[in-house]
Amino acid sequence: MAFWTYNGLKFGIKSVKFPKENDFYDGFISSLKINEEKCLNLTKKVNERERKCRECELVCPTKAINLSNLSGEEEIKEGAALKVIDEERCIFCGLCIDACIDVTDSRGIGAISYATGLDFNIRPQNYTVDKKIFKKSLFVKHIDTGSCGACESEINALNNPYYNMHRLGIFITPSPRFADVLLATGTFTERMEEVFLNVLDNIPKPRFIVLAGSCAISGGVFENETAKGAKDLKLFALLDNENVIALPHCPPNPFEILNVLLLIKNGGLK
Amino acid sequence: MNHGKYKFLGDYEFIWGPVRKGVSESILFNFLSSGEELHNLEITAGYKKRNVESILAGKRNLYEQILLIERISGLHAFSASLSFCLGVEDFFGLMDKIHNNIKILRMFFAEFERIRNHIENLSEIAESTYIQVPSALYAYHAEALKQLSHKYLKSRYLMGINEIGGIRVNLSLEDIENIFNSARLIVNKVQGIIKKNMETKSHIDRLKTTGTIDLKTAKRFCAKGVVAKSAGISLDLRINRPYLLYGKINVKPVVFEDGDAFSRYMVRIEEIGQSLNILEYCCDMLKRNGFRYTADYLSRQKEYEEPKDLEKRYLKDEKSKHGFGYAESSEGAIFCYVKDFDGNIFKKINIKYPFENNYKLFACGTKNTMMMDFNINETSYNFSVAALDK
Repeated sequence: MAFWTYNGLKFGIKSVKFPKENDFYDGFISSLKINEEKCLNLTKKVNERERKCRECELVCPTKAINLSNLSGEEEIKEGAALKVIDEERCIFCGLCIDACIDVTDSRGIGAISYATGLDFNIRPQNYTVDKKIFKKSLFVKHIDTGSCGACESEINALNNPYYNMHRLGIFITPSPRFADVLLATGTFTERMEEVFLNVLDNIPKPRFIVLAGSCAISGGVFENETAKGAKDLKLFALLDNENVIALPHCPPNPFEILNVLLLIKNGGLK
Repeated sequence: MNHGKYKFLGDYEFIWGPVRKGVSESILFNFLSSGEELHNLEITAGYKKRNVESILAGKRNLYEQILLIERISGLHAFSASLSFCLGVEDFFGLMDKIHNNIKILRMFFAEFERIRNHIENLSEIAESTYIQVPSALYAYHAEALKQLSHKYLKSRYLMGINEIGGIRVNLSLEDIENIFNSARLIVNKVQGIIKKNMETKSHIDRLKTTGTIDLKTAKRFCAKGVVAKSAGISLDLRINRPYLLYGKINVKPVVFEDGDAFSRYMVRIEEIGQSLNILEYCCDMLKRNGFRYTADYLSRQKEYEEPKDLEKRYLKDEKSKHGFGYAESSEGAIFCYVKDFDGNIFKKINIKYPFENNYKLFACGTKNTMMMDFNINETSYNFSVAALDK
């Protein structure tokens, strides 16, 4: 065993400096951005000659794109502009990017492209507290409500030396009684819905629920009449008074999960 | 639960699941134990049943079906989508029309996925025997492989790469070489850890003779993949029924006789080395074939997604036609059967994962083992509950 201790020390510290620095790895992407100047929907609208281009909207498998929300046609709901790309639904399949490149016939970048940055609006709807709620470490209870296993793999990755979430005082707990956060992954299948509510009942307040991945939020690619994730009417009503945070993408990147957990821990939800 | 004939005086039952410790998938284990020894195990799956087959029938086009198939089991996304694509290509008679370079690229990514899954599993096995340092080291290298695929393929789990007739991601030969060189460096480091780990007695001793299954039992339950190979059955579609260009390379069967956790561990280690050799072969072949960019072989959407043309060709007189595809994933064969093409999608898709056989064998193989070793057994089988439940 001493042999492995020596090897571990020799291996050195490999953890990222995040959140002190945004030292993401090479190739890290966390969102999609639309360049309205390049978008053919808007440019063609000005000329009023041709039909508006809606290729990306048509090709999106999760209906995450709504070009009606582009500047000029923007609908205002509760004081905030609706987004063209709904982060909560996007699964990063990249079909819209390909479609846009095909339409603009540019071999390089179309109007839609990948971007980095962790600036999602994740503040829970009924959340009014601005100060730090949890004074010490944050304990997270995970529940799989029907995921594909990729979300679990990403949450497990937070324990590896690269992310090393323990250094930030965040731990996975086996018991809901000690948990501050319930991290749910998956589409909320019929059988797991009941189990989820049972686990939630056992978590003391104040508590947060993090819906990790588009499957948990809206059903993702599984979305149909029966699989709607937490948007299922019955479940939605039950979670009305809870602090629910939607963590989008399929699967969410470990950096994104870590960011949300840190914001809960440090009271920086905005 | 009824453990019936297995129950003796002093035995007690307890359940574990569907929500378990740490980060794990939902499945229910019902144990019958006398304290130290596990006398019987009943597994209740189905908590995660998402009715994938009916959701697949409601999709708008073939590509949406691929995206969903990839997400049945995220860790086997590439192999599953490959088996579906091969099934569809078989249906449309495209098998011979696909360029060899595309076949080589598909082999490349399938082997890349195998390496990543095996390294991740080695990390879990090391953790189950409570040696944290090698577990962390393996996990670090598995993470490096995921970052590598994120950089070049925009997906950490090789999702969104396959499409009917080709590969959707645009890569150059230089990108492929970079992926290979980085993967080779990572595998070399992992092999260094494996070498040191083989000298760690507390690790190896706990794996040896744990969860042993004999050849007869493995055959009775139709064991698949790593479990079958560890019990002396040479079952590898890359060798037995070569697809893509596996027939042209000399893939040696990896077979161990003991059927215990150590044999399963050894199968994974041997396969990592084997897969690296296949990656090297793929890289060489791409260079020799004059490959430059995947964009040169991209199938234009219009070529295969024009519903009217497809309807004319396949709807009228070929309704009884079906397609069949298969691919060897890191845990065993994934079969896909497609039928009833309506011009846009396949209304009937059956996809079969190896875990459907292996989980029954797991319940049988853990009988009369130590409760302490249950975690080792579970990680060495490495079955995906998501694929089991579908």
